[in-house]
Amino acid sequence: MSDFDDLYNVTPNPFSEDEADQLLNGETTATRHSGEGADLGRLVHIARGAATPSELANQAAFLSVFATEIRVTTTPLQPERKRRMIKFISAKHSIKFVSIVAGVVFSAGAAAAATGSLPDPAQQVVSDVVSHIGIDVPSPDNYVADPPPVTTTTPKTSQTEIEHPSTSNAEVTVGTTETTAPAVVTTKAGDDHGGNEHEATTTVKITFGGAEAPQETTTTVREKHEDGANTPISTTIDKPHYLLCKAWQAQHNFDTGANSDETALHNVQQAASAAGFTVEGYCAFLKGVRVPTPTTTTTTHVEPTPTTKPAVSTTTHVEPTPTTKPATTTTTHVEPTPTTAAPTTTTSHVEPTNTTTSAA
Amino acid sequence: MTCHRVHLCAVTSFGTDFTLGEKTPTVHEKTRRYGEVLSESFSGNSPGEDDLEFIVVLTAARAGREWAATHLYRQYHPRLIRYLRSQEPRAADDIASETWIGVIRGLQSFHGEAPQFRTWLFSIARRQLAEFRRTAIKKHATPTDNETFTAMESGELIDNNIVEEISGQEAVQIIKDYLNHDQSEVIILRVLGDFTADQVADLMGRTPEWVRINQFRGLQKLAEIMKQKIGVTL
Repeated sequence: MSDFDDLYNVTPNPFSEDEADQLLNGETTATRHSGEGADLGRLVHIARGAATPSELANQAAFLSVFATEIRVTTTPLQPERKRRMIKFISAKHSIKFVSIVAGVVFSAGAAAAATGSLPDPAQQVVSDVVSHIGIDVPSPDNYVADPPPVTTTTPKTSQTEIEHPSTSNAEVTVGTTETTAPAVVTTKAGDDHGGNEHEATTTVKITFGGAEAPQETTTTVREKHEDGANTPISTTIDKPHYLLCKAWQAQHNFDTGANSDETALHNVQQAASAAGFTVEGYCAFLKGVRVPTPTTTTTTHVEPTPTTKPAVSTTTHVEPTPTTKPATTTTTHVEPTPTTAAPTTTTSHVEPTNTTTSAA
Repeated sequence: MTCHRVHLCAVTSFGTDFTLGEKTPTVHEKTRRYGEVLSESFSGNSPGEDDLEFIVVLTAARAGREWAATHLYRQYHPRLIRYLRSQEPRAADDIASETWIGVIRGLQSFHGEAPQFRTWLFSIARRQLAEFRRTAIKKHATPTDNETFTAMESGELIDNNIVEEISGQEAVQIIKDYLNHDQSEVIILRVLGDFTADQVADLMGRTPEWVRINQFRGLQKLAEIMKQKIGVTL
């Protein structure tokens, strides 16, 4: 059996190798062959000719596919996703997301974000979003190794739009509060309780890993009475008193008196009278301005006893003015004490400076 | 515009001058304008004008420029569709569409110049063609009408077409109709794809000798048919 190319170069070849190449490449229409060679050359020339309209009829469809496919294959999606994420969060879920971010910041994981040691994408997103709401967390772009401790006495001004009601059925409102403190988060707690509105000022100190960063949460404590009086309160609110109030209320309501602690109740009565309240009103007030529930990493520090190294110390000074004055206008100044490097003594005081009384 | 940094100049020019809409210069003008700039970026042999044009067009197409896609399509699609219509007349447009989709999706990863692009394009087309034939076997075959066979036997396909009247597709069809499958495909690929025998061999998965044999026999047969049947010189 012969191979397929047995006759190659045996039969007379009308074209040489070069002539065949020239012919097929359309480089000649008039070879040395005036007969069939020229005919073939013209045939090839026609076959390679210009496009007809019917051959380009699908050009528009091709371009539309091109426009679609090339975008899909070349468009970077991450920045758009990040923009959408930030916009989405800030527009619709600011409160929820801020709660999450605050949870992150106030937890051990915040140490990683604050020191820039999160993975770059996560660090960037946290930095972008948190800076969007006024908290300075280093981004991976400007992160410097071994950052200085964040404990500083230089106050920064930051604004947040965090507001939460202290009761579950209250309507959420968004506003802006400004405070002066390093890395400040300001919250305002409002509550309608027996016709009173309360605001509380709290100082929170947070420790980021090994470095201590004073974080001050300032809430103005104020009482507004049904008669329109708006009186600052000058007393010290602390959790033991609140608990004593609960005990007093339990005794008062059920009139058992069996397990009552006379000394503790006496202290409550003293505190209430010092604040110009009845015990009932004082306890109602304490219930309304309940000290923010500490997280797992937060401990409440009761003044004046300083703790040695608390992760978070919360100190609240409330100085009420006797409510009997029919005050109509009350101006409260929040004067933060310069924060020192000492880890436990960051406080701010709410002191009523002007109470103008005008006759009704 | 004075360019001291060759690549920056070329890249910057892509982003500015080439996006002026209808007032943009033709592709030839664009390549001529930036030809010197681009040629400086080649460390070895300077590319020819066609190569420069292709580089410009390919880079712009990768960047999503519509004019570049249009240029690629208008330059390569007519011959592609002629090849496909000679192989599968009824499904050629669909196969061509699939081929171009494959080109667009692979454009970012393609590396090469115009010859490599042609090879890539036709290899995608042949793959789509093979896929179509493989699936078409499972479907009903489309019979060729008797008139076609009659015309082929009598040579009417050639006799009835005067040289000035036949189109490019009809010229390709003459090659297809009067040669067997392998011979016709070899010659059509060499004619329409501007391929060398070696490139056709790579494309078809054959040896260069096999390609040259079929090329020789096909040309010989075409020359004989024309001499006998046409009666008029093409």
